[in-house]
Amino acid sequence: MKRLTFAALLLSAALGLADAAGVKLQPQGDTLTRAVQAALGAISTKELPVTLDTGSGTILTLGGAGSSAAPFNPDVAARVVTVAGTRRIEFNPAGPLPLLQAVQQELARELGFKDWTAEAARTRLSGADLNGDGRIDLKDLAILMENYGKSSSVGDLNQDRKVDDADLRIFSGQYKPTPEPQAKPEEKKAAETPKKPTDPAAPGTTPPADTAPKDAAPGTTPSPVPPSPVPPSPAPPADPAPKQP
Amino acid sequence: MRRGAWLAALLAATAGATTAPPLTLAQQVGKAEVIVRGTLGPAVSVKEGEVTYLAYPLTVAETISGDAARLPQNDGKPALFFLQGLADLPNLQSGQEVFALLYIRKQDSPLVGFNQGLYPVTGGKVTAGDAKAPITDPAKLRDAIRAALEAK
Repeated sequence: MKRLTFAALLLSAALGLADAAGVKLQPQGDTLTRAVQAALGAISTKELPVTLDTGSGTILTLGGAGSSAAPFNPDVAARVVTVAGTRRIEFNPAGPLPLLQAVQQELARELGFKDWTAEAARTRLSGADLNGDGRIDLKDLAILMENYGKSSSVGDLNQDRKVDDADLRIFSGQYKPTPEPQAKPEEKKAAETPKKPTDPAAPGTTPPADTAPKDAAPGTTPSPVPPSPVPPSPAPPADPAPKQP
Repeated sequence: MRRGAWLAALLAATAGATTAPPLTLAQQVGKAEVIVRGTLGPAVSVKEGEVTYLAYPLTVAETISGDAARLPQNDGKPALFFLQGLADLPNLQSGQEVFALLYIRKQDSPLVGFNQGLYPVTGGKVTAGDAKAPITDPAKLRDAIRAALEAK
């Protein structure tokens, strides 16, 4: 695993400013649009500007309408409704949370952020969190290396249909090593024993282990990540017969 | 703007979720208008104007608080009405025995705390309380509800 760290460190390169991450959402109405823009502004940074792209995406409404016009449970700040195959997030105008807070909480879930911070956004939106656990770590690098040289979509961070050095460079721009537990002396000695590289997926030579990778934004566009594990939704009863009250 | 396309895929892959701040049992009791122990029947779809609800008939075995007759009715019997298509509803089964802390207004979910106010009785046990004082005995849950009612 250490060799993988070395590979990532080696490939840490000077990267330019990121292009904006456009979050595709369709808030309806000025009040909600402003709240969404304010929420995105709170996680936007120079390295990873996060902007609202209203061209498509989940519809957000303040209150329900039409077939979802049922009153809100007073204890919910927002609800998710699927109407005629269209998924909508509806915010409770009289809910228990201020609108901005409700928007942040709901969008954090929607986007798969651990919390509503620029750091969580960077982790999730960079594309380098390959296992979707909210961290960019050696597990993600291992996934990338498993697919190195393949035409896999997993690890193809720049969406060029192959996993190669360019993807490693993007990854290395996102990876921040965390301190590992102190190894016992004998383990440390064993770990320091050089090993002959056998994995053709690990290009380059071995730099010092404790050299921190350069913290820079990716210079190229990230790619889709595998979907996060999602708890199953409760199954509605099988085709209950429509009935007028 | 390829990143936008990636985000669209990410959004499509995530699950729906409902934002409801957690409530303690005492808080749930404080909000509930009706508290019953009963058994659910098979759901039926009920259309009211443009809105479609799933109605679960509720055979009330015991009213702990409030007037169960004030609950929304279907076919002249109390029922739990949920907005059809709503995400994150509890997995309700016909024949399931439950303690239910309820609002009487017909809305997207009748349960206090969205779905927090539902305590299924499974194998003679419930899961209630918190980590410090878990409640598994249905009789003790009833006692805890009554104690919270008295403290109200």
